[in-house]
Amino acid sequence: MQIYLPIAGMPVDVLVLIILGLVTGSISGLFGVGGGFLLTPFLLFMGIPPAIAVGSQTAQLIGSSISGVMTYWKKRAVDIHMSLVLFAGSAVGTFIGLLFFSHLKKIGQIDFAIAASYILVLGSLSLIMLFESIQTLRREKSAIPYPLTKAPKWVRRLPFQVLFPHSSIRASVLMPLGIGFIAGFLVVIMGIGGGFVIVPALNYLLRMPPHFIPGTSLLQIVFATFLVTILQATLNHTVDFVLAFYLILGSAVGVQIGARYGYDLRGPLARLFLSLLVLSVSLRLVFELTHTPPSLYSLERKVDKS
Amino acid sequence: MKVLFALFCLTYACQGMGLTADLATHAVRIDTDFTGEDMVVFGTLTKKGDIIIVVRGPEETLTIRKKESIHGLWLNHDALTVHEVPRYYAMACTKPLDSILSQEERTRHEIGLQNLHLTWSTPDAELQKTYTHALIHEKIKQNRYIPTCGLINFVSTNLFRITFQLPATVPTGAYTVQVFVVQEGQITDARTIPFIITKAGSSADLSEFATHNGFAYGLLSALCSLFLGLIISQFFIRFRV
Repeated sequence: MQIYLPIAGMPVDVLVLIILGLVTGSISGLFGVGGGFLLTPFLLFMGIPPAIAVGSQTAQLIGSSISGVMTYWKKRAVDIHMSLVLFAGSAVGTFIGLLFFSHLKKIGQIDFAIAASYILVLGSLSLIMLFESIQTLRREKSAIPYPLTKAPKWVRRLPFQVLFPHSSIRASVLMPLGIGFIAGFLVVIMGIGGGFVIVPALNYLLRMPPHFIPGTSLLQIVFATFLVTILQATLNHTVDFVLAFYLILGSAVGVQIGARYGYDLRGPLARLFLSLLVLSVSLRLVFELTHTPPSLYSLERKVDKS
Repeated sequence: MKVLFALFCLTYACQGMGLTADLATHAVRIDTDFTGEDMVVFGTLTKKGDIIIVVRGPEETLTIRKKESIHGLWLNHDALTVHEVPRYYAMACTKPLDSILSQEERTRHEIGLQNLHLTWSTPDAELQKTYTHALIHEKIKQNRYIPTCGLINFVSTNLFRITFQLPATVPTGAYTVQVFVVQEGQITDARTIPFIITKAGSSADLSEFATHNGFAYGLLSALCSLFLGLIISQFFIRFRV
């Protein structure tokens, strides 16, 4: 069944959107990441203009992430204080990101910036995560169980130490503020949820118990994408709600399926899968950047409000 | 004198009556189930000659960026701005273009993709040529420019008709259909018929709302997305566990 997307200006098959949402939602629920890194390329492949794919994606992320939060919330596995501090950081990161984004668009380097951010930030993070998770799985028998493994020394030495009662971590607020800032920045530049930065950080730098990580990360994503959706709609008019609606129908359900298994998924195993997934996308991007593109020229409309 | 005057007027009027043309519809409405639309152009030609029809969309300004390999990475480097670019261009003719119309005439009336009058941000003719070529290539890929000339059918001796298939992604705005009569390599008559493509129904309302009340639309979209996700999750949590 085809439906015409008013902002995107093209018809799409509703069923395709729902299935796409289901798949990416499952990954989201499993790991606590938004799933945007998979969804956005698919939307582009369907012919949806990039700016609208990114903008509508952030709206979709609200729906799918809140669905995941609810499941983890029911199991009391969401550290709301941590999520709020993370969001304080990401709100600032969002504004800085927006400034960067407009400048990059003006000089025509936004596509490269998105690919570079992906490769540098997510690529390196996933490499670290890959080695660490393999190592941990190998040492599983003799590894010291949580919460006795401590966060790195420099993290423990930071000022403004606070207790986060839900997940029983004592950590400096500067840490989640800083992580949130980077995440917020990436939400704007790449149209993702930011979970990729937050999940490893909660794990390695803050040593949060693994079953708390996806839910806490997803709650932060809800806050951040809510903010960015409003900003994108107000400043760039790139949010197609009809598109987001059908994607959410699939992803909110998919997240439920993913979250069911995510709670039981052992930390290192989840990180292993996640890192492989991100790594493969990063490699694909490197390939695209270094090989002759199919089309040397790109057309960009000078948008006038008509 | 009066008789002569009347005869003169009659002959003059009759010359104008050689060609008539019209469209099956003057307004294309894009609603939620839009998957493209047929634009039918029909008319009569009572004198001997060929017909060329050009459908042009509204004009836009584009920035064309060219990628270059810099230290092994393919990045956007040079860019040019071009104005008065039609957003849609399609043609139909009774015979192949180059067999009935001279290049000079084609250039004069902007008939044919190679003969569009574009305004570039650079005076360099070589650059203009390269970029024009790239522009047309990209537009054809996007299904906005149709490179081949459709064949006009004469349904009866004088009645002709042709159908243009407007794609699902066709841009909105004011379009023109130009009908030219070609006799002995020259354009001897022409008609310009306008039509408009607009979003209608709920697509239009949503579009309008999003454009004019960006903040309210954004807030509403965010809230609806939130509630949709909440409702779906509650359905699962309460009824399945």
